[in-house]
Amino acid sequence: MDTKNKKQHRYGMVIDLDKCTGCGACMVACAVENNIPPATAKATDRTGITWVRVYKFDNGLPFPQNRSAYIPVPCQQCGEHTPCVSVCPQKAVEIDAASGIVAQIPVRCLGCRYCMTACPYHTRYFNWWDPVWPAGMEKTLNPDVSPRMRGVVEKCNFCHERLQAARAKAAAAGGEEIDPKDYQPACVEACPTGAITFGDLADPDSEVSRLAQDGQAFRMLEKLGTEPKVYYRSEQAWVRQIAQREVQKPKEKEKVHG
Amino acid sequence: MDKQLLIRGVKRSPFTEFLLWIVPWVALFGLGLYAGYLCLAKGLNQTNMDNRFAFGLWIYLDLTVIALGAGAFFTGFLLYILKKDELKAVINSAVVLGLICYSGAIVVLMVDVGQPLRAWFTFWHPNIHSMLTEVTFCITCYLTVLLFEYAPLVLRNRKFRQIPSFLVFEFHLHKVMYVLAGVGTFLSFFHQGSLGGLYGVLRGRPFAFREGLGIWPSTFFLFILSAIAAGPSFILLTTWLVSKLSKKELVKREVLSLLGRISGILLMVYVFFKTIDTLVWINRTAPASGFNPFDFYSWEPFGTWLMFAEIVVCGLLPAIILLDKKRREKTAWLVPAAFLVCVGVMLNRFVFTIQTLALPTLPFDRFLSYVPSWQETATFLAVVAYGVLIYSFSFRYLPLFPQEKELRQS
Amino acid sequence: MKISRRDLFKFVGGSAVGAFLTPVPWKLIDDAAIWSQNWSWIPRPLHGEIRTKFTTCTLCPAGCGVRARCVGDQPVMLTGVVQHPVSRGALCPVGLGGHHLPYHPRRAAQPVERVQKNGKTEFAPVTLDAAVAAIAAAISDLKTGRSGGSIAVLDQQPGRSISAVYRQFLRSVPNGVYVTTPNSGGDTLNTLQGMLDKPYGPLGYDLENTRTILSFGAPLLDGWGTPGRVMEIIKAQKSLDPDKRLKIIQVEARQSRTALFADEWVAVNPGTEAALALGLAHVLIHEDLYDRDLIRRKADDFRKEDRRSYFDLVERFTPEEAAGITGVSPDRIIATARGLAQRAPAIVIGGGDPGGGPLGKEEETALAGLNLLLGSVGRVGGIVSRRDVPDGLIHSNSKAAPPTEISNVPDRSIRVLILDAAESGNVIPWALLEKKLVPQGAVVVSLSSYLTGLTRHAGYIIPAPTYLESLQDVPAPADATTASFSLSPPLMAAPAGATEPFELVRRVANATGVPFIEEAKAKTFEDHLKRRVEAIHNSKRGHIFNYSDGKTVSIAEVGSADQLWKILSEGGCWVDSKTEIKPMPNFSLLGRAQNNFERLQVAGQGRLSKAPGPVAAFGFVLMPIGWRGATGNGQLSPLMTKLYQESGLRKLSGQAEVNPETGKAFGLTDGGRAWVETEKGAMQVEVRFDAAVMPRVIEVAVGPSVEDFSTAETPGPKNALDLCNLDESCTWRVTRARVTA
Ligand SMILES: Nc1nc2c(c(=O)[nH]1)N[C@H]1C(S)=C(S)[C@@H](COP(=O)(O)OP(=O)(O)OC[C@H]3O[C@@H](n4cnc5c(=O)[nH]c(N)nc54)[C@H](O)[C@@H]3O)O[C@H]1N2
Ligand SMILES: Nc1nc2c(c(=O)[nH]1)N[C@H]1C(S)=C(S)[C@@H](COP(=O)(O)OP(=O)(O)OC[C@H]3O[C@@H](n4cnc5c(=O)[nH]c(N)nc54)[C@H](O)[C@@H]3O)O[C@H]1N2
Ligand code: SF4
Ligand code: SF4
Ligand code: SF4
Ligand code: SF4
Ligand code: SF4
Ligand SMILES: [Mo]
Repeated sequence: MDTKNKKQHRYGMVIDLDKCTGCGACMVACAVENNIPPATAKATDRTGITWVRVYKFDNGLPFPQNRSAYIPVPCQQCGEHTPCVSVCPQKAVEIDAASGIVAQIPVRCLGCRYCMTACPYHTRYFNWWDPVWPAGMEKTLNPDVSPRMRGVVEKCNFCHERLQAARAKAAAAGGEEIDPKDYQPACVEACPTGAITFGDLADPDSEVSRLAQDGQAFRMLEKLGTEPKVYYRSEQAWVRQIAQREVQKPKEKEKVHG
Repeated sequence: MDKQLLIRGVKRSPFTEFLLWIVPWVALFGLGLYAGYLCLAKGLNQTNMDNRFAFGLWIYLDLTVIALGAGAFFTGFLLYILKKDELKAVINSAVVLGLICYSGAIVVLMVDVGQPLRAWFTFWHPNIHSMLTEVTFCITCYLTVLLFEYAPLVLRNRKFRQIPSFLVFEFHLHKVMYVLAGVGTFLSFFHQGSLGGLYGVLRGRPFAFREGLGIWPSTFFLFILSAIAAGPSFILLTTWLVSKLSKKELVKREVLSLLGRISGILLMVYVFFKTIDTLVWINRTAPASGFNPFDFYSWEPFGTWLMFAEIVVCGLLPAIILLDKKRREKTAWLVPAAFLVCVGVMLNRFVFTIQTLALPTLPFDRFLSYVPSWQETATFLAVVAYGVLIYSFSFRYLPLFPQEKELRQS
Repeated sequence: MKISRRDLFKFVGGSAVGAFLTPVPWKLIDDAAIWSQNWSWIPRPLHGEIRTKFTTCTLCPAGCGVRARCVGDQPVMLTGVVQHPVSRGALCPVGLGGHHLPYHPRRAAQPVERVQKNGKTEFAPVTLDAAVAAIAAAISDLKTGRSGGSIAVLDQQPGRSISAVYRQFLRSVPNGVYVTTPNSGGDTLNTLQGMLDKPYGPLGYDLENTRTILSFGAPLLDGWGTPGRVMEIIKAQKSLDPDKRLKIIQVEARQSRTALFADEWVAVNPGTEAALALGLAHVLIHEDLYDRDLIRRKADDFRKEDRRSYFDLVERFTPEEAAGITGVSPDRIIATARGLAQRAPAIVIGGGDPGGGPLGKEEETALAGLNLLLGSVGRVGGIVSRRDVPDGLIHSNSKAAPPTEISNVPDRSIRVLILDAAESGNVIPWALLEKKLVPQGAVVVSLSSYLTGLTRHAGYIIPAPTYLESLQDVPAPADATTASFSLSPPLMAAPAGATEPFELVRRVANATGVPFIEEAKAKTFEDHLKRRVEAIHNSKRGHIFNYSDGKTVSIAEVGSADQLWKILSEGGCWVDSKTEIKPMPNFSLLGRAQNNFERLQVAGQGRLSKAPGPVAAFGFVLMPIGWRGATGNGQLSPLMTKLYQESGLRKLSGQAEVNPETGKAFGLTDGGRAWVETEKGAMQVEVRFDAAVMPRVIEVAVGPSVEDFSTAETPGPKNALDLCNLDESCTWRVTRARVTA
């Protein structure tokens, strides 16, 4: 599909941390949508694959003043000096001009994992094992996404296949532009608290642009200059401070454990 | 057979003794091959790397051996381009070492990637902005150059010399050696740099990220400097070691001193720039990306002692020793100093490959540890074994040290 | 001519060079590339016509509306039905993976029998007839008096049509007991029922109109009741003006997700909820913050001569007294009580953690009492009664065994225990059921399709078709204020080896010669369900919501029962029409049981006060924790590993959390292992430090375990529940424990 002579979009998210209860629906919905296999018996939180990972962090105060917050972290779809794009030796990562989405093309990936060391948000996942579904469960795979194989890297792509579908629908209707309602990622759809707002940041009238502008919105590790298209917001100062890394050192000196 | 292959005019240990020496290394090499096979057949789940420690022991190995291997091209450069003829004495040994380091690195890389069968796509549709593309291209090209540099050496074996066409070929190769050295030098400067660039460009890893001079981050140049500073020391160290093990004088003493002096000078230059770079990083680069540089050192066990050890103990100190003529003449100073230089470059590569990945970037993230699996370690050791074997055979059957003969007669 | 060796070389070399000028090598290279990108063993998704189908989730009593995206007949994605009158759109993570369950690695697709093979327990295939015969034999023994005991069916989703079948069957066999379990949605309501002197209809929480919720450990924001309904209420808050907004106060020993998101979190000492409830009542009474008139008119035990009245009980629990027990300051207790009175209507909800188990009868009585004292029962924004779903099946208890709460079943009394497959979402420790079984020769039959959880203890497993494989009905969830009814039509075929519970009961009835009283009227379960739909249609009550077009029409507009059936079986939900609130009957604040005064008095001292184990030796309190629908029962998509194994967002069985200070003090290490030891036994756990945990408490997750996601036949590792102390009112939420590195 030629993406040249099309209106420029910048798809992005605003995730309201005051609404996220850490239920995990987004993680399950994403795995269902994108044909991510279940963990092998040996997999851990460091070798597993979950394109959006919900982390928990706390205000560092002792019980009972201690408070926690949950933060879902999908690929932040970095827009400038996109770390993972520039490092890939064989163009298996591309940033799509039309959508601003950072593309992962697993069929081109040689699994060198350089992109993973480059990503400050740890949103890239390597297939350490062959993907295996329990007998019969492969029948439940989403026909719109091709499963990946062992030895390649994958990540959140804003449910690109849904964008493709919306484009197809628009094209069929003879229209140039998609109806924003037709392009909502699986995690956004599944979130029971409506914590995630998705849309076109390039459209000043969109809800997502409005939220991204308000004073309580921010982006993670903003000073790295990677220009993420995933914004977060919270009305709680401590949440903003920690998530923004304004509190320099996380917690007290920790000993090694992994 | 062994007899006929041996080089004339020098003494070599009896074949049985030689066998006893290589057998354990062959065993170690075999184990490594098996481990490598496991990783290729069953996948990288055989390693202890993970999504967060996406690079591990193997990448560390690659960066380190290639840094040490720099001795090869740099000696060639000094000898053929800068006409430092004294270095004829070690050039052959240097070439063998270079070949070992580079071929070893590439083999390990092939095990390290998840889809080796696609590795060549990099040549097919390369991303010219990627440092890894630069590295891949340069290393493969330079390895070819090394093979051409190694060939005449092999051809000088007495059996081969009996074949006239080989003599002719070797003679022609000899004439282009200057060209090869030139090309090799260019390629090597480039990929030593790219290896530094590999980490320096990672703006997502403020611990490794460095600001650029031109299109390259400072690490690009620092890696070149540290490599060419360590290269000669590594040659010095190996030559000394081989002559200890073989109980023979292989090169004239002043050659070692010369290597030491070259190493010393370059190291001093390196330490100077490394210090400036570190200060810039602490005061500007790291804070600008929202990190307090000293937080990086607040995680056990990677404290500031690591930085001190790298720059002062293994940098400034040996540089001073090597630049001091009187001490340089004393092997008791020279060799340990050269050793420190090599440790220094190894430390530097460790800091960039391992410490970088251990440190958290996300505010709610934790410090990570990583211990290589036996498969990783065995593969690593196989490269060492492979090196020892190639070198042992070359030393036994090829004229690595031209001066050895005359030193023996005198 | 003579070809020299040289010519040959030339030819070979020449053609080699020549070949490079042809496309051949490039083609080969490219093929190599494409070959290297395709591995035959990577599954390819099915392709085919994309259809949208509708059904209703039966994985917990909430009964959420489900929109299924199917390739041909195979569901590939489940999402909620927006505007659904009951579930309001959202599916929980358990429901999102529902379409994977038919392929669950631990699925039992045919009847199996528990056998001992060289010391190891295994499940061996058995014929349905053999299994039925075994059950029948046991029942005949009871009939002939050859052995004592009762026949029980455990039903965790009462009110379904199959429930009626069980109850009728149990009525017609000797000593049939229809057993229900505590469920976090309804415990307080059930207790409240028992305190009213006339039947008042099923109760529900009018959450939409309340201003204050005082929750005692109910996971309100983490799967409680109908999750979608709660989330809609929460979402709506922002748009309301401040004094209309809902205020949630969470009373809980742990920083649960609900505690985090509540407006106030009151961290009470583990097991001291009753003391706090009575302390609050004390303040309400002493500050005259209750409806004197109402209480005088309706309560029969507020004040009594014998000094064993509600007033006398509460009298002892001064704020200071309560503070001493609960660890909550007197001022906070007073402030909270005043808040309840000022921000009326207020609802007090019990229930407790889905893994931690019920609060206990005494606690629930105290909470129900608090509701009555606050005048929250039978008013808008309080606890209101709803009408029953019109029901063509059970006309009176004379034809059906009455529900008996498991804690009311005498110990060592059940001879034949049939475990229905439906889940409440809350855990039931095997020890709790085991306690109720006759010591010798008890027969336990599970109808679950998964070799996990309680089923691991069954002698026979006669798997029913699982969710999405069979026609089910879904009555109103426990917390609902209006009756509702929907069908869960199957989207895919059940395996040949699966047996409909209806069919099983019929066979057992026939084999034991007891009348299967539906026989005449209902040949199949579908006929049976149709009679209920018919009853709904005849009632002319309410509206029907259509999943596919989101439209709602009044029943009057639905021409016939068949038409109603059609709508429901293609995805629809019947909702009763609103009725004005019935005047509430008289009640007793202490409950009907005679010894309640003493029992509450004791319970008021805290569950640990009579817990075994010297405090000194057992310095920790073990609190089992779980997440509704995921307490290790097996009805979990393998993709739930994302939440448990691959991110640590939720805790796997045997993962524990302690306060960092406590941990260090007891020589534990963050990320290390530790032994947890109680009177009941010991197990090794994986410890994490978390400042969210109360000092000297160890929270241990009850499940699932990694085995629950895999085919590994090993029964899961020891579970925290095995260590918990089951007290006489069948709670197990707090146990003294020793923890060592
Ligand atoms: N540079 C480049 N251009 C291409 C191709 C290519 O491989 N590279 N392929 C050509 C082909 S064969 C086609 S069909 C068209 C398609 O063209 P499009 O329909 O435009 O989609 P893509 O080409 O895949 O990349 C554009 C968008 O696709 C998304 N994307 C890229 N790779 C993936 C992926 O692996 N998974 C998902 N879910 N999204 C992805 C990115 O979000 C990006 O925004 O593009 C053609 N153009
Ligand atoms: N998750 C996800 N997976 C996808 C897609 C997606 O959108 N998302 N897209 C799917 C689609 S539509 C397609 S078409 C495929 C595309 O993916 P593929 O076509 O399978 O892979 P490509 O890298 O695009 O190109 C295939 C091979 O062609 C070779 N090649 C590249 N350039 C040339 C050339 O100039 N000449 C020759 N002879 N060979 C060349 C390279 O070796 C490359 O490996 O990926 C599919 N896979
Ligand atoms: S689904 Fe929504 S609420 Fe649940 S974890 Fe994801 S973002 Fe948070
Ligand atoms: S978040 Fe990571 S993977 Fe995503 S675009 Fe940024 S660097 Fe790439
Ligand atoms: S792992 Fe794959 S995507 Fe990442 S850099 Fe290497 S080739 Fe590119
Ligand atoms: S946008 Fe799509 S791919 Fe990304 S996390 Fe959400 S569901 Fe997964
Ligand atoms: S499991 Fe319960 S809450 Fe979750 S979707 Fe199913 S019915 Fe709804
Ligand atoms: Mo394509």
